[in-house]
Amino acid sequence: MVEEGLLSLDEPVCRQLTSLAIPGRNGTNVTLRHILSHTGGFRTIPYSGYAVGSPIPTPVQILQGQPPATTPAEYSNGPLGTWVYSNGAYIFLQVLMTDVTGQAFSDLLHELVLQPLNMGRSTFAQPLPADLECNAACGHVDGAVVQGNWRINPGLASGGLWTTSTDLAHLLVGVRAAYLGDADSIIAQSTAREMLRLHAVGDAPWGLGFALKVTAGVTEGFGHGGQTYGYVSVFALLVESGDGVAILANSNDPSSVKPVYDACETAYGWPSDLLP
Amino acid sequence: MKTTFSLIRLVVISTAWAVATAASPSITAQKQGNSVRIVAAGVDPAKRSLIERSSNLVDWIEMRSFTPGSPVIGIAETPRSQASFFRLIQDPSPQSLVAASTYQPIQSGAIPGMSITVITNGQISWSRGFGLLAKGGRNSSMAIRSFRLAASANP
Repeated sequence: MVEEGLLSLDEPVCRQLTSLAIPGRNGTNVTLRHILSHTGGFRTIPYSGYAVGSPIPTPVQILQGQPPATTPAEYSNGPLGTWVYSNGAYIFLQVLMTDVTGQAFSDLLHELVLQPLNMGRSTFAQPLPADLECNAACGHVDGAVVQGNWRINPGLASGGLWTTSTDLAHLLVGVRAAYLGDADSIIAQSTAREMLRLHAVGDAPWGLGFALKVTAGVTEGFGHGGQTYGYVSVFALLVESGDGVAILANSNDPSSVKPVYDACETAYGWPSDLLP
Repeated sequence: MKTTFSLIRLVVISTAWAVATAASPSITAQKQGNSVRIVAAGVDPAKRSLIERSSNLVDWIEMRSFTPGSPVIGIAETPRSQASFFRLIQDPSPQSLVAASTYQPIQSGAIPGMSITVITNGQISWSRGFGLLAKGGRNSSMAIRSFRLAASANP
C-alpha cells in the first residue's frame, strides 16, 4: 500500500485515520514507520482475546477501551522513537488500512499478502469460519484446552492470523526473495530493504514488523517470536543462506519450543543466534 | 520387567536390522542398571558429526565415544529413547535430529503438539507435525493444521 501511494511511512497517520484519533501527546505525530517499528510511544497492552460466545468488541472499541473490550484504552504518551513492543499500535494499523481502503482487514490481507504468497491455509477471519474449525489446532493454557478451543481475537493485526508453519515459511521466503531483488516478489526490493533495515533496538534489533539479526550494520536475518492465548510461535530466516525455520505450537509456554528451535540450529549448523 | 522386555525387543530388532542391511552399523545392546547401553559400530564417518550434535538435543539418552573409528555408544533410559537412538543411527539426518528434539516437550506435556517447517537455501525443505491437535484428543496431521499466529509478545 505504501508502494501504491495509499499509505505513507512518514506522514502522520492521523491524516488518514478517520475512525478514531490516536489519543495521547503524540497522537498527531505518530507515523506508520513508528507503528511498524514499535517506536510510536505506545505500550504493550494485556490482551488475551475473547472467549467464544462472549461479546466481541470492534478494533476501535479495543483501542478506546470501550465495552465490551476488557482492556484499557491505547494511547501514545511515551517518547517517539523509543522502542516499546506494542501490539495495540498494530491494531491502529489495522484500522488505518480499513479506513483507507474501505475493505475488511481479512479480505485486504488475503488479497495483498496471503493469496500472492500462496498462503492458502491462512486466514485473518475471526471468528474462525465453521468450515475451517476442523483444521485448527486447539489452544492450551497451562496444559488444558482453552474453553471453546480458542479465543476470538478481533485485533487481527496483532496475533489474529491463523496459519500453518508451511504458510509462514512461504512468508519468510517471499520477503527474502523481495529483499534479494526477485522480480516476481509481491513487494519491491526497496520496500523489503526498508522493512529489514535497522530502525530501533529493543529486546532485539528491529526493522519494520520484524526483529532482525544485525552484525556490523548488516542485516543477516529476520523473524519474530511470540505468544497469544494458548499458542506460541517462532520463525526466522537467514538472508544470505536462505536457511530458517517456522515453529508453531498449541501451548502458552514459550520456553517449551526453545529446545526444538535450538535443535534446528544445531542439526543444520546454523549460527547459534539465528533467532533475532 | 519393562527394561528386560525392551532389551529383548531391542536385540531382536537390531539382529533383524543387521540381517536386512549388511552395510548398516552393527548394534549391540546390554542392560546396565536401569538403562540400556547401546553400541553402534561401523557408523558412516560422514554422519558421525550429526549424531554427535544430537547428544545435546536428545537428552534422555547419553551418548559417548565420538572418537573417529570407534563405536558410537548411547546410554538409553527408556524404550522410547532406545528407539530414538536406533532411528538416529539409521538416519542421522538433520530432520531426524529435529524430530527427536520434539519428544521431550511433547512427552512432558509442555506442548500438546507442534508444526515445524524448515527452510534451506531459500526453499521449503520439509514440514512435519508432531503431537496432538488437542490434549486428550487424537493424533492428527499437525503439519497441515492452522495455529493462531502468536505475535503479541516475545518469548
